[in-house]
Amino acid sequence: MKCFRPGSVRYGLTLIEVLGTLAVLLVLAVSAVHILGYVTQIGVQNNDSWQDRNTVQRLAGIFRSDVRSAADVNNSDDGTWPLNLMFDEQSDQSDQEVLYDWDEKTLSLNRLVKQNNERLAFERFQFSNRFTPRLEVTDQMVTLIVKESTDTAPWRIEVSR
Amino acid sequence: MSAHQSNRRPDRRGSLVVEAAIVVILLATAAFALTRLARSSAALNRQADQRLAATLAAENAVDHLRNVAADQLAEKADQVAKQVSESNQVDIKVVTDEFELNGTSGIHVRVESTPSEVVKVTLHDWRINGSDSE
Repeated sequence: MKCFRPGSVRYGLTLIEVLGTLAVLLVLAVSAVHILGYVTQIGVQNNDSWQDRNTVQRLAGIFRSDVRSAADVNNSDDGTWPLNLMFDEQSDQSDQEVLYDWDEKTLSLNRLVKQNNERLAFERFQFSNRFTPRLEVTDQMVTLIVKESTDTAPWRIEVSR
Repeated sequence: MSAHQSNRRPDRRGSLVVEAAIVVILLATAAFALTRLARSSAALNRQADQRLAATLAAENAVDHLRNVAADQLAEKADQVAKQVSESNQVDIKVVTDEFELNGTSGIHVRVESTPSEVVKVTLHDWRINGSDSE
């Protein structure tokens, strides 16, 4: 065994010191990766929520305008998709037909404008979270319920006919 | 402690404890800041969701009021507010008052939507001499 004489200077590190240092660095690296992942996850969730709110606001304006100017609203009795809006000659969208349909696979609400069975325009309202919009159609009102939650008020778009 | 041990590590006694303590403090600070970030982020998100719900509810109330004749607005305002409050689960208040400005008269409709104590959305609508204007 090598002994140090009094007054001598020791150079280098022992194996225990190296292992201890590496262990501390490992703990720091793992913690940093976890923290970075968590912060990224919060950012992604915020961005998704922000996009959903913007999409709903855009959808609300167009949906209200469509239903108000529609001459006829066709929908199945159980309120399932699609929603078919017919316009007469007196409206700005004369002889047009607007079809709203929910696509479960892409989580998007699609708006298709047709005239004489030809596609004029197509618009997609993309949602990032797991929403399932549903319809309530009565003689007096068309209601699009975008989101129902237990902790916040629902996102409902009610339009009188 | 022997003389030769003091010669080996003259200035490093207890340094490992100090380093470990610093690491623990740094990690604890980061974890605390992250927890606060997550909480405030969730609260802001929820508040923004409530604001959107309040805006939609207020727009729904304005839409309902458009079907009411101008001379019946004052008496039907409470009824519409109650109806929209129940369906949208948001506290809705409708206030109507007549106005006259530069020879133009009409009714000013104010719709206040308050889903919570911190969120309040107000929309205005005007009925001018029988024509609708928002």
